[in-house]
Amino acid sequence: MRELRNKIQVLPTGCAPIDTLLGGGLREGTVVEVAGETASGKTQLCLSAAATTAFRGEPVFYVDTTGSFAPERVVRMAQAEAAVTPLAGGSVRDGDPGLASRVLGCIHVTRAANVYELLAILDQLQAELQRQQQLQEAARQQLRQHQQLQQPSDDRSGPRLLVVDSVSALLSTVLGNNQHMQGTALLTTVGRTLKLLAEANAIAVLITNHVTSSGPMARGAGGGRDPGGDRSGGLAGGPVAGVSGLKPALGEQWRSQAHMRLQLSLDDSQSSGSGARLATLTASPLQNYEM
Amino acid sequence: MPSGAGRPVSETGLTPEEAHEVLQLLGTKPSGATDWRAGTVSAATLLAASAAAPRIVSMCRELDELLGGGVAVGQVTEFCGVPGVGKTQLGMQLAISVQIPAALAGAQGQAVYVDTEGSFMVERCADIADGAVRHVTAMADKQAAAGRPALAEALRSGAVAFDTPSLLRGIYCFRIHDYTEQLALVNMLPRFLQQYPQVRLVVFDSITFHFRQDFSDMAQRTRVVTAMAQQLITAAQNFGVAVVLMNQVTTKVLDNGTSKLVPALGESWGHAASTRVMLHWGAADNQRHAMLFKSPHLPPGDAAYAVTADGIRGLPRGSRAATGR
Repeated sequence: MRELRNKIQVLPTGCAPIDTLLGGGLREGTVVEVAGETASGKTQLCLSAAATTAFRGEPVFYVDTTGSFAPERVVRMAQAEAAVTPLAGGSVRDGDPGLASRVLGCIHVTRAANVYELLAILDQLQAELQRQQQLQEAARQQLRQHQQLQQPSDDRSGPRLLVVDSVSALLSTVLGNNQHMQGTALLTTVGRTLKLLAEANAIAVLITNHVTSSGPMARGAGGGRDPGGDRSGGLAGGPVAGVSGLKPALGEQWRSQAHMRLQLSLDDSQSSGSGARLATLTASPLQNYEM
Repeated sequence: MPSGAGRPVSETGLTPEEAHEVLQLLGTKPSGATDWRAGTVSAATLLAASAAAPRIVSMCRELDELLGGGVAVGQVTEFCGVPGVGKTQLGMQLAISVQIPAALAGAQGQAVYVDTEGSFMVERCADIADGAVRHVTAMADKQAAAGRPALAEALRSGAVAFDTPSLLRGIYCFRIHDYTEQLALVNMLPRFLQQYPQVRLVVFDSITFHFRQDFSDMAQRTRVVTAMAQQLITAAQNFGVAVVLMNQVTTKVLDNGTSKLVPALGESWGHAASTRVMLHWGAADNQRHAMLFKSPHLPPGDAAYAVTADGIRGLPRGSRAATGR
């Protein structure tokens, strides 16, 4: 069991095409940002990733800033996951009555009403995990002294997945002309803290961002594009416009804060009732996948 | 390994001073978990809480089913629509039906009605209250006939006051004249809700009106509006009230030259409400329709409703068959 756990470097999101797009799923130590207009499925992707991760018994740390964490939906997603997962040692059965409580018990939700609360939560998480690592290191040394190396300690007790949905809801309130310096400082602090958390503790971090239209005004302020983001996919919009003329919000300063960026959009070519969404990876050469 | 909740500090190998420092860093009470889970709530707890929370019904069965049983407390729900489609009617209806007794699975609370457009008509609200009183009395009689006379007796004796004057007393109305007043109201809302803990619903009719004028700096508007949204979400969660926002619509020209109606205040505002419903006129049947197009846990859907003399109601069965729904 431990071997299996140590081997896993990638957490699936619960959506196979998006996993493929991300190269297998959410990687430990990296920050993946999901941008998209309202109702494009950002929260659904977060819930799905949380449900899938929790279904595998891995703890999830979920920061909800918009009051959109829906435990009912997580249960249903976990049930769907259970239905397609082959029996794992007989512990997971279809219609498992303990499934809901087991999955939800792995998800630890906290709410942040403003960017300062978010920073406090992230700092506290980092401090706790660091303390835990030190304790484990000390315990390991003790074990080594007692020649008990055949019983290595379980070195994964922190969360495997950290979700912040959404980061932009908090940050966009402090960004602006008159508070420019302070807002930018907060923005980079949030980005740095997330990266530190991801790297120091091998946590996969999933955050959401909203989009703004990349009109002429936004373009002037926004400047160039990602080096790899060749966007000639036949979508109407200016040469530097994002997907469907929309680009991730929070501006140029924020752009470098996530390792991977995924942009979700509603698929207008489908009938409106089909629920189809397009996911576009904008931090690598353009690929279109349909959910 | 050290991860258990409530584990004695002495076992972690920390001196009391270090432990105190950690606890200060956590900002939590010493009784709480002292590992990385500190300050969080298990999703299982949240599920139990949301299952136990009452819903505020619209009195239209189809619309309530669309919303998962009614408007949820602790959340922000937005209704958008063209003038005349029934936003204000729905707002008044919700302000009345939030007061439905707990014996009928109602929230048995009170409502705050924030009127920014001057469209709150107390005469109309009294009509809706009359309709609700008739409905609740009929339900109580039905319960009494089924051998459960508790509610009917409580209504008769006045233990549960459910008549038009007390219903109107249960609505706290604020008339807002500009966006400064509106922001001030949102700022003082937590204090008001603390003072009036029986309030279960806050209606903003409409949230948009004052923000569609007087703003030259759109970046500033975005900042102000998202900050207001964040305050409303926090108030909804902290006080367990349903926040209902009425929004206007605006025309968006698409790339291919066609246009469609979208909620006003733009893309960044779209994140304010976790549940969004578009009220519109059905193209085929000339009825009012509610379309759920954003929700974290409910499937998108559509429900027809009617505005009657008694308030919001479902379509009569005959006309529903005629429209093929």
